[in-house]
Amino acid sequence: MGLLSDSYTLFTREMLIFKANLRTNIVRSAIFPLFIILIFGNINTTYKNTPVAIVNYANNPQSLAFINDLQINNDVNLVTVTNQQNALQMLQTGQVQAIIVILPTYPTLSPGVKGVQVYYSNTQVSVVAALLPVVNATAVQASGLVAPKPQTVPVSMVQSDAVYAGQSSYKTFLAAGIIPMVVIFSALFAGGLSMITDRQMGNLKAFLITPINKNAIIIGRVISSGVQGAFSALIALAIGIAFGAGVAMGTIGVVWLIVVAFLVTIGFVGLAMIIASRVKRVDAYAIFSQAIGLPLWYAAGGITPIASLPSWILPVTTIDPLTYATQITRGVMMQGFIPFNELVFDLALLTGIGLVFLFISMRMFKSTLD
Amino acid sequence: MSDHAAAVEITRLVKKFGDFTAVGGINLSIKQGEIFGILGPNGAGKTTTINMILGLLTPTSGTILINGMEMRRHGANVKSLLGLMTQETVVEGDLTARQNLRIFADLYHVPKDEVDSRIELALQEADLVDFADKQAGTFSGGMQRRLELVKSMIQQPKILVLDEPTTGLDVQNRSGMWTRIKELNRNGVTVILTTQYLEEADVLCDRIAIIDHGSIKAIGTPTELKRIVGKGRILELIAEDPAKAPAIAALLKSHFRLAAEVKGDRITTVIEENRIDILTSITGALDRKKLDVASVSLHLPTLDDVFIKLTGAGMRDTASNDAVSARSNIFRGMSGRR
Repeated sequence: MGLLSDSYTLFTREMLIFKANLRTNIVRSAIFPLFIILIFGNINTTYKNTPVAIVNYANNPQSLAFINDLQINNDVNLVTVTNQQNALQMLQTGQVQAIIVILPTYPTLSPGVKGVQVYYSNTQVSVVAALLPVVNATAVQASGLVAPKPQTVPVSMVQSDAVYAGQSSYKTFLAAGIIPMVVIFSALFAGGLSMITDRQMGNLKAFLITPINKNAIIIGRVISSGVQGAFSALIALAIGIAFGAGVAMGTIGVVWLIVVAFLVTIGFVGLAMIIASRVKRVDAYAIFSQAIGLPLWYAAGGITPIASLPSWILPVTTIDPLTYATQITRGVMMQGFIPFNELVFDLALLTGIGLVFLFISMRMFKSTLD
Repeated sequence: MSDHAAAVEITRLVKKFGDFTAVGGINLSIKQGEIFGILGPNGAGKTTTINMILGLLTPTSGTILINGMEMRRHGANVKSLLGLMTQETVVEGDLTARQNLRIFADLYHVPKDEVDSRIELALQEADLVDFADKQAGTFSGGMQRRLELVKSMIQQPKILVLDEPTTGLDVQNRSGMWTRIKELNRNGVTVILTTQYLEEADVLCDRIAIIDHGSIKAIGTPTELKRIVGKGRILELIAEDPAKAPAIAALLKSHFRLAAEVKGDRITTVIEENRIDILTSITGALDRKKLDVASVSLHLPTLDDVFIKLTGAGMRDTASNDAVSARSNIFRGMSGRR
């Protein structure tokens, strides 16, 4: 009867409670990925509802055909504006997300003489990324030219992001970023919140007067949270796959995701319990965990590529354990491989942080008892 | 671990939190097999003392011997001897009654081959056999309380600590709880009880310690403690017609030279010990004056009086009144059930 069997008993308790609340736990794990993938994952295909200003300086049959084509065949939501100045103002105030200016030179289209100019707001980069090819193709078609080779098509601006390139989609990118977030929220809630409620309800006292090793209370909780974190990760992954994300590495990739989820949870449960040993109120704890969880998720590039994050946040990104977890999930799901040295580094880092937090939380747990 | 050792032997126990002395040098010996009550106003040091007995707090100085063993040296052995039931009902609502019991059986390191039989026994004792596999959260307050009691007894402790065990219970469950406590005690379990219901301590406890500001003001049997207040008896009359209560008080004053206090329809006064015979004269006089009374009672000073005398502050009035009415109802309830 030692630390292990005591830990196992408490692990069983946590898992039984988890099982009793299975539906709530599934909903909690599912709701974030569901909405984030539904909303953000579809951003690059929703240009059809985005208002776009059109300024026609050419005013010839070809230009009218071009506008007609955009509106009828491609469902672009066009707003006709008489001059470029007004249109730019509308773009600035957010009334439209892009401006298509048909220059007087249209239907002439060549790399030298651009017949069509597109201005867009950088806040809607993914919308425009979807819109630009449509504008391009339609302009070529309406001008009556035979479509030239792609590189000679006069596109005014081309946005390309390496992350979206290749076989992968933005949805996969998002799903890989959401998994660590779901996992840390599972950890912050499962670990810390239950610790606070157990203290309030008197369960903790009931455990402490039994002849168990005190550390078993921490260890049992940490391991059960790890399992719950992995469970949350699988639910997030299932939702991602249902909405079109993929795992480039296949089945072994799923195993890697579970390992990462488990390690991340252990680290964050340690952190959660450090907070929980100081914050005694559930509502205060909820605010704390949100304030810690969300920024770490953003800083780790969960929703946007790290390259497009503002530079001031990069120091946070560097020390954020989620950065390294996300690096593995992205590698697994998007690239299909992780460079060996990177993998070793990431895993060692996650394990190290987990152990440090665990050690501190055990020390703090003991010190709060007196 | 001899049987002659006191169940709990506390010597010069001190606990300080920073500058604040919660417990300031308590000496206390709780005998094997007694029901020992610890009474005190809020913040008197009751819970701190209890927590040190349970090993939840480390004493600043002094020793606590449980059956002759010290917590620090014999942690696991000592802890298995102790059981605790708190004022909160600590059952895990998401788990079934059986799961609740099994977890604590495991945490108390009950031998594997005994776990199942102990759980069955506990379920029978708590009258929860039919609800064994239902979530405890769906139980009524009384059922949860019964589950809690058998759960805290699953390790079969020799010493049971009850921290305000009947707070928040309805009358029926409270009487049931008292019966259970007495039953456990008859089976040889030493019971240490804190309560805010003075009447409860009076009914249940063999001995009571009254503590205040971290030190013991008095220890003794309830009767001994009541002697502290005085040797008189309390006479309590309840007027049939509340309007006539002052007239009754006036009669006591004029005919018997007794200073009476009137509260609504209730008249109370103190009769000296050697003048008990006065009671018949009083009832006779009342009858002649056609001052009808609904009830006449003569009793020893209550622990309430003792408490006020020793600590200078009463327990919360509502609590003790509550307990008085609870007791009378309980006796009615008990006789009704049999």
